[in-house]
Amino acid sequence: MRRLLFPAAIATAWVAGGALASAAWTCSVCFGAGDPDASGFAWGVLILLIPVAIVQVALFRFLLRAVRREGASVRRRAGGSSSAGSAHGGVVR
Amino acid sequence: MPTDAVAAPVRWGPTSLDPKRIGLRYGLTGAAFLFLGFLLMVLMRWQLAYPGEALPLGTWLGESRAPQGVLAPEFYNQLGAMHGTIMIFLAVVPMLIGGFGNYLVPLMIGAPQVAFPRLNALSYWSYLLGGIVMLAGFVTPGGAAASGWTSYPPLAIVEISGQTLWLVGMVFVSISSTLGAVNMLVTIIQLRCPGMTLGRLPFFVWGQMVSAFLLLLAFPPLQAAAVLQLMDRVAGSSFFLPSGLVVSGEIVEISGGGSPLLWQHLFWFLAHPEVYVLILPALGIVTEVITTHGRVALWGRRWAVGSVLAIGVLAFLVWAHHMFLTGMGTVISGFFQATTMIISIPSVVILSCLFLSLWGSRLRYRSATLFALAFLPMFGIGGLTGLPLGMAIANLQLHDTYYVLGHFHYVVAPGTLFAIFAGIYHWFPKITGRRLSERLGKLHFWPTLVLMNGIFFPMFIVGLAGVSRRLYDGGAGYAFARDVTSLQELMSFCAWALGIAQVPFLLNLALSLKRPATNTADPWSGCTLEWATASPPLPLNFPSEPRVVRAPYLFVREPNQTEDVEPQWSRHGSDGPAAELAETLRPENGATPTSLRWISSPRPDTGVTNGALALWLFLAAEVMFFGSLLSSYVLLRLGNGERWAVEGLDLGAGPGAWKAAVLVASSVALLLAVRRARVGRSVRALGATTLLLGATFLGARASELAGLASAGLVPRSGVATAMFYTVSGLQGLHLLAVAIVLLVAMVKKGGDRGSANRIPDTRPLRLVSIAWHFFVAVWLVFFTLFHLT
Repeated sequence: MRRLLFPAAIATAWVAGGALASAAWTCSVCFGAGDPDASGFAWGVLILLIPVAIVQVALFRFLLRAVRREGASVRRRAGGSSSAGSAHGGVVR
Repeated sequence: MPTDAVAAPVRWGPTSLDPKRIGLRYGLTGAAFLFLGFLLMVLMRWQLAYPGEALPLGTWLGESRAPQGVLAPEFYNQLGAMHGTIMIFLAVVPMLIGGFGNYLVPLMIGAPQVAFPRLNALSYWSYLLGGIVMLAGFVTPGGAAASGWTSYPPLAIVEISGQTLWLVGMVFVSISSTLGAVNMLVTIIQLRCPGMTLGRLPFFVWGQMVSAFLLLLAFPPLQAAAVLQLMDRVAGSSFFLPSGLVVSGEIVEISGGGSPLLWQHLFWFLAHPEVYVLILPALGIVTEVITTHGRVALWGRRWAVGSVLAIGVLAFLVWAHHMFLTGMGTVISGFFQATTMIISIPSVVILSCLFLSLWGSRLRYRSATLFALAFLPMFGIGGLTGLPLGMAIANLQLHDTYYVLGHFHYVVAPGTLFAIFAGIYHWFPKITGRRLSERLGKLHFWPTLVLMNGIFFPMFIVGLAGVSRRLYDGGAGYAFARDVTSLQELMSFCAWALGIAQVPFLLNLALSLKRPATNTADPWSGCTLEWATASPPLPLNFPSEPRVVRAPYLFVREPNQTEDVEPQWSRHGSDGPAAELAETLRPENGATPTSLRWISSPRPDTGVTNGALALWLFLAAEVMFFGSLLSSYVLLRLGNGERWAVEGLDLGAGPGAWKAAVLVASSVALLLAVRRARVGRSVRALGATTLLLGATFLGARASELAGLASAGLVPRSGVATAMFYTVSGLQGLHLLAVAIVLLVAMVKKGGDRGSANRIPDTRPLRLVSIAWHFFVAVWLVFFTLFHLT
């Protein structure tokens, strides 16, 4: 369930963004009423953000997985050898 | 103990693949561009201080550029456009990422090389070529690009100067950035030595990693935009030209239907993250200098790293604050205003971490420290003055004034350049084995600090008076600006004096290079891995693979301790400091260079090979590239409404469908080929089928475009035809490139099958097949848009 939390949050953000798109049209005088340019801009901007979201989520999940695997590996090694020096031994700050 | 016996010989061959050599090349080329950019500014500053007066020796510039020694307005515009372009794209970013990054990142993570040395070299040559192409505009009849470093259309398209060269050069520079970013990311993620977990990475490396990530995702949209603007200039399309465009009182004969604001979106999508590309490596350098010379840990290191990552995400969500005056709605303006305020939080967190690190530190006030310390308030001023610009209401008043110039120059000039100087003073002993003179260093620092502020602080005053940054006379022709125009003279004087203030620095470099080398491995008692090897470092950095045992920046504070630093490496292993290992490092003692890892088997923690990760990163860049084209398509199509249709253009579902079916069939054949390869069976027939189907698709595509052209439907006919030509051509070129690589992979695999007792290596085939499927999928998306809607 926790694994789905982050993608779900991103998806919700995009759905909310899509719902807001109609209100985001053009200048504060006409709010884009009947203006195709305005809807073009709103959807163009949103579509530009979609690939960013996809790539960012993918890369951060990859890094997160690497960190978790690293942590597991360090813990395994620490369990196997208690004589290994502490990572912070002898350090005040 | 000197270790000159193990100092690496310096070889400068153009084919050298050593990242240290390539890093130095980047650094020196960037410095040359920096000098050139400075010279352009010196000329502009004369005109701003003494508008209309003849420049000393101005006649040397030629009658077209400076009639009777007075700078021509057109030439002034070229100087402005090229100053910005050179400083951002050709000087500062290449010095920080290509120079410091290439030299130091492999050393700091304990790697012998970068992941892809040839790609790295190609990145440098592509950057150099791009820079030369851009500058070539100065010697063409129309002159260099003259529509600002932002190249806003319609001006950038209708002007006759070297804008085309600017665009071609930009494509090369962006290719260089993408290649460099992929190489840097794979190097950091895959080539960390044992014990160098992500949590133990020095802050400098985090800065480089997130900057590479920003470059990877931000440059493709500009690349796409540059291709579209090239189409507008060369093929007569109207991606960025609106209908009914009037230039010099005459209606321009174009199809119209384009949007100048589309360029702004795509340009700022790159250019705002580019600011963080400038700042994050600079913050990394300052962190290394302050912690090492202050003998202090980085306060709140986890928060600082988290903030860098947050900037990596948020940097893509703030670009439109450059466009508050374009008529955006209040909701979108509000959104970008909010994200701009939010992104200031991680920036402030990092700056606070650095300031708080100074508490209780034992600073040695060396030249490097002074520049790093000066960076903090300079960057602070640059950042805080940006907040009013991020608010739509204040932006209405301040937009395009000298205030904006002051703001971003504080970030880039006394900010980032001070970090670069700090880095040079800090790592010069590592790179050359020699120390720079502290006396000359301080003589360099103090005038530079005063003069930088003398140039940029008055800009806030001039800007608040409402003077536009783009005026040829610096505001002298406007009554409202008369009270502040005298400051232009002060700024110009400080700018010229700044050039003279760099003489001690150049003298320092020259004198130190003449002195005999001491080759002290660790002159500052540093704690990160680059200080564990000889100065200059060995050709493959370390005699054997280092082992990291702790996080960076751990300094012991007990007064009776002889050693005040716990370095990242083990002092007692075979990977200790070079000073302790002089004997072991001697080649005659059998020192063996380390080699690159994770080429054929996946790294256990990341689960991927270097090649696989590089491919996914390339595809990420391609997602951004084609995503930008898709965004442009949607924006223009919805924006044009009924005007989208071009008379006589009927792409039809049928002809498009059979070509798409051929493409899908090629993907299926490749999928089956990979399956067969996995069990060691021949893939020749299926591979050849894939290539044949791909060739059929490309041939049919070429024939379709030729048919359209013969019917008079060319890019000039309308935005719809222009988009079809552009997207078809780009997708076709990408597919052709992958087909060539696929052919090579198949031939290579055939060779592998012939090897006795060897399992055929299917990795290249599998990786190339992923790229193939991706470009097939890209076409299916555009097929749906072009043929079915």
